[in-house]
Amino acid sequence: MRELPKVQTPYVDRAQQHEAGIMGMHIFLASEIMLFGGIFMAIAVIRQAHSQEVVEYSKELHYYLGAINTMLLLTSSFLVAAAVHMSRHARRKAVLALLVSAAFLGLLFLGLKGFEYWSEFQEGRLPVAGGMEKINSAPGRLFLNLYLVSTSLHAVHLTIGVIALLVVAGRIYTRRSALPQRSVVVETTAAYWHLVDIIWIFLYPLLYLAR
Amino acid sequence: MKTGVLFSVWVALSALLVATVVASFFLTGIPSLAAGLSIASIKAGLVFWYFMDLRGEKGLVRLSAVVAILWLFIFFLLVAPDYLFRTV
Repeated sequence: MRELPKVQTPYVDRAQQHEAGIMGMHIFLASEIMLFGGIFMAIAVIRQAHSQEVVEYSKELHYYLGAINTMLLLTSSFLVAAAVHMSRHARRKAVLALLVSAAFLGLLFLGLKGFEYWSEFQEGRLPVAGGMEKINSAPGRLFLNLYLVSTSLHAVHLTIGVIALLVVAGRIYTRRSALPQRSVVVETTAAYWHLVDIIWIFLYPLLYLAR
Repeated sequence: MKTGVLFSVWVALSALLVATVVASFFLTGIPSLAAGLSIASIKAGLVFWYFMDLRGEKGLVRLSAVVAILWLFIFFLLVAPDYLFRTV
């Protein structure tokens, strides 16, 4: 028989306790959406003001690498969602395998993104010292600045997500987080991971597919 | 939620990714931007509803999850007129 999670003060029942945990995570994620919202607004403004240059420089980005990375994130999100489902049914080994697989896909994403930055640096299209020989216009440079800021900020979030997934997997492996009693830990970490995925879902067409 | 449903959502998300890339080959300008953002919104909706399991949550959690979209809308609504109608 499954052991149910303890009800802590000040909650009246398990449902309320669970709801508070998930709601708190969503409020935090709302602040993350607003953080990226400013960048999205800046991209929209420069797209409207310098459409021609944005399209020109967007075409130079490696859209197929971006598509592969999108696929990696979508797949990792599926694995994490499946891990949440398994955690509610106390399928400990399946949860571990799914969380570690999702973290591995996250690392693959970061590796591919690093390769992409390196390629752009070699091509002279990365707005950093020594890597912008082919950036000839101010709007183009501004667009690539936004590209670098938004994708690197996303990569920082993804790195945190990978660490969070591995920490949760470690806690489940060592049984410090028992399932299904502590499945809320898997759920909140999954929510963070999904948000990182959603941010990329919007960044990809805005940056790579401006035509 | 059953893993079969989650897998179907993953298939749909993958198909939408292909649609985004294909659309970028054929569309330019505003239609291109509209197609990219529309498909991205559908994908985000699927992730929110099925992967984040908002389908199984109550009103308060759903409200917390979508409130940022309202804030973003207000933010965009206040900033956009400045750039769209600026004369100098």
